[in-house]
Amino acid sequence: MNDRQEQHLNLLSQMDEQIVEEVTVERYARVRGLARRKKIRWISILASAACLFLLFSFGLNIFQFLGFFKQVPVYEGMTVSNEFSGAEQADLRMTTVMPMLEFAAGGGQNAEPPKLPHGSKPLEEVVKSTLQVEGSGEPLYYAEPNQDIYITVHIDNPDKFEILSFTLNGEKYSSYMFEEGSDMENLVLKINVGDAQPCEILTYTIDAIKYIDGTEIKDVRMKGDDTVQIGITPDVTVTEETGVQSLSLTVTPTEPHAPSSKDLIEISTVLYDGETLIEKKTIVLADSAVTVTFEGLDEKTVYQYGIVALYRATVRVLAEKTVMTLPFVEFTDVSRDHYSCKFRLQWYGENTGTSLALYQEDTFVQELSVDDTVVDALKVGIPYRLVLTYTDGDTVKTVELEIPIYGYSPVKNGEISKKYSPKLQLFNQTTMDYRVHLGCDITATDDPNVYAVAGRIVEIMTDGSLGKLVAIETSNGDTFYYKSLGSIADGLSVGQSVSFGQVIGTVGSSLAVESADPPHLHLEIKDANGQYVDPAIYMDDSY
Amino acid sequence: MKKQDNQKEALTVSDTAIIELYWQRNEQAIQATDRKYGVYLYRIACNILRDRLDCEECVNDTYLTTWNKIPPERPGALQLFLTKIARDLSIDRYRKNKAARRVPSELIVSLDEMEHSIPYDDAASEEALRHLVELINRYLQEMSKEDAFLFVCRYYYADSVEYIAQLQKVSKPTVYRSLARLREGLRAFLEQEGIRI
Repeated sequence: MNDRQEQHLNLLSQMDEQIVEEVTVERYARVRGLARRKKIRWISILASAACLFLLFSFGLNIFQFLGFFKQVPVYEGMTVSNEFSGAEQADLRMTTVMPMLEFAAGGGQNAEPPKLPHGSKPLEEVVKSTLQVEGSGEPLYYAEPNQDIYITVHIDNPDKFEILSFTLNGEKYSSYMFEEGSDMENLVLKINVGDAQPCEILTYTIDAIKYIDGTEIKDVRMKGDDTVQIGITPDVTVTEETGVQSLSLTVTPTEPHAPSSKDLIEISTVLYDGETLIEKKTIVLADSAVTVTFEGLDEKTVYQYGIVALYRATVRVLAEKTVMTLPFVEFTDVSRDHYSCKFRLQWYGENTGTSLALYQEDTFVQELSVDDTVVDALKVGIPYRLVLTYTDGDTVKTVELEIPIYGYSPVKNGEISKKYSPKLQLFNQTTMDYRVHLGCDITATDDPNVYAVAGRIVEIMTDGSLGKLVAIETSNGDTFYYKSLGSIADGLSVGQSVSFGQVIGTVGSSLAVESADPPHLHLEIKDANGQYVDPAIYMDDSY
Repeated sequence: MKKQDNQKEALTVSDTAIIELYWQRNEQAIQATDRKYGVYLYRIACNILRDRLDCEECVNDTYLTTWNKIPPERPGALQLFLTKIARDLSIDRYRKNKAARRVPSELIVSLDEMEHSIPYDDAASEEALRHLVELINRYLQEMSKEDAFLFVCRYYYADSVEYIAQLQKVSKPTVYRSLARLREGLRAFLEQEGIRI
């Protein structure tokens, strides 16, 4: 606001208050009256519009009832399927060729089908983009020679005029020739593609669809595509043979004649690694089989091969499969017991092993011979791995075997009630003080038996303060002390060998310094150097 | 039905009852004020401010100011009381809001109409301005009720010509002519009283 406006505003704001009050009251009343009138006007407008609408709808229905404003049927297109049961159809576009082909398994394949890396594209898409195959006129449907197909003609026919006939490839088909289950909006016709050449493309064109309106025969209006194309697929069988760095494919046509079609450019075998199409080899399908070999592949790697027919404007994958090349060498026939592990080295390449070593996690344990098939002196509950070193040409490679852990369960379904604690002092319920705990207390739940580790009994004791005890020395020098036993099994003696899992007693509270604890096994383990170790690392995953 | 009930309730809730609620510090006072005068006050703000949000904030500020003023005040005419607060707050906001000033409001348009009817003197004394106010009010008191309604709606409330035409149930040209007549009459009156325009 400029100064003049400000001054005038100031003056006019000081109008006579009584007059302003009178005008304010009058103004308020008129404003409310105006609002009321506006509301009434809107209600009238809406009511009028509603009446008009009802009138119009009623009139429209009358006209339609009397036969005015009927909609001419409109042809919208055709679809093709390989079966028709009236309600559902199997769309030929969704049918893959895979179930039609036979595969002979090659050698060295895993039981589980191998998979390409996550995110890999479909082979057909990769072939199209790599070979830059694109264009219109792509056949959307495929069939085999002499196969029956069902062509459905779709018509938008809300007034349900009777469709009299249509012409397909110049041949007239009347309504009595339609399949049972057809209606006036979906006309289904069964035809046979005939003895078409493999890879040939058949074209079906529809026109002159007639319908009856009263006593007149009229033409359906044509709107959708009047043509469908059907590609005839050749029937082939494929066998593959995988090597360490190679893949051989033998492709045999089922039909004893070479496929030919003016639209076909070539038939090829392609190889895909999940990222790129790494190789394409053209083949000529004749009367006999043709073999193609891809070489220079990586060992133990998943690849997908395909037999593809390349047309002028499209690609058809006739067969595809994912395989894995063989490893150079692998560990097989692996079995483990509590102190040893048996295995076998299967060489798919040349035997070029230079060393075989045993590791306990990252710690080297011992060197073996590459010809060995067993490793001994393993401890229960410890993870081991075997590492084989070999050469592949100029490259030094390794392959590893994770040796299954063999766990030990001194009390079945037992629970650790107090852990091994060589440094941190734990509260002792019996002595009511804090002291280190050099063993592991295990309580029983449903089975009070104590099960031994395999070895030789070196001590049996029943003592007032140490309670009932059995000590077993294992073949690798560890000594297991079973303390706080409630009872010792009959017939045990020092020097006796016990087997893995043999019952040597029951849990109890015979250890004086733990007598206030519930019945349990107090298990201590000393290694070959006389050092206490945590018994839990020997135990299985149930603890 | 609830809206109708509320409207009926609003009509029957007198200004006295609303003022009493303010005195009792009952928050229902603000709700009652909003139901009865909310739209009315919004219109007053819109004549001065164009922005919808500014107008809504102004109305809310009016309620807050009223809440703070009553008590200790006990206005005899609640409607006029609210009107003045809303008008003053709207004008203040208009002065401060640069964005609002870019679009001339109806208030400015109405003030510009008075350019040739009321004198402007940037050096005028307080006494001279008071005298001018007296003269304008004398002119106002001599008007007919309908003319006074027209004059106050346009130059106090800054109602648009179109809106005044709806309130008076006349055409816009009629309102334009009447306003021109009143402005000319004011000019003549002031000149007659020795004021130079």
